[in-house]
Amino acid sequence: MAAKVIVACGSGVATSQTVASKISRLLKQRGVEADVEAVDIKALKHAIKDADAYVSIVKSDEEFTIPVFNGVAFLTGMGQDAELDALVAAIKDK
Amino acid sequence: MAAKADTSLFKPELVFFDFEATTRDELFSELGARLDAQGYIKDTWYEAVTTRERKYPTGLQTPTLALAIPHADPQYLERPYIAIVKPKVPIEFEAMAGIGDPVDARLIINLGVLRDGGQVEVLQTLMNIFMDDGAAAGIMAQDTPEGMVSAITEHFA
Repeated sequence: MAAKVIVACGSGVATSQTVASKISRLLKQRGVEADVEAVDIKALKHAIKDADAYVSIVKSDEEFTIPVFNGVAFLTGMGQDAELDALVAAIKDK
Repeated sequence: MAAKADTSLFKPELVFFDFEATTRDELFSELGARLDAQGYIKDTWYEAVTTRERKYPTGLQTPTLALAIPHADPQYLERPYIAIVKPKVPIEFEAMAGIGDPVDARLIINLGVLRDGGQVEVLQTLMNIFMDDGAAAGIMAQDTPEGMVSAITEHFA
């Protein structure tokens, strides 16, 4: 089964879609099957229920029960490889 | 297939080098006045963009320079646009996702994009530009609106 990865931003329009599309492409290159979904922050609580990883581009003090990754890295490319490695490790067996 | 990026959103009339702003709010106020005069935004835009920036900051430290990509939700727009501001002095923006220190943004790219408006391609291409020293330097060297538009749009294949 493919892993489910959630990306959230304030509106679900520009930033989260861009990060989701990039992660989707990078995972495919690594041969990892995953559904990567961009949502707005209001839909996060619901979307995260059956997700395997959460990629965040908003400030949050909330605790999550699934692994959380730094979405800004995928936007700017700074620290992207390390973040991708961690994401792959977290979801590859899902 | 994803929609192709619409480079017509970049326009010389939406490139600004003359802003006197020294703070975010001043910047949004100057930008709002220009965008409003050209009919791009609703009069609720200023409130929306400043509120959103406080809640979801958009400062980004890229490999080449610090920038910010503030945006308001689509319902505050009259029509889509992308505005570029190279302020006279860097403007402090909080870092996106609260990760890292605030950034002194030397370039502000205001994404006035609607849902399904090719925003993914636009933002992705912009981010790729700022991963490349030469491309970023080429953009920061511009001092005319026309030059800025072509320096950016040449990266959209």
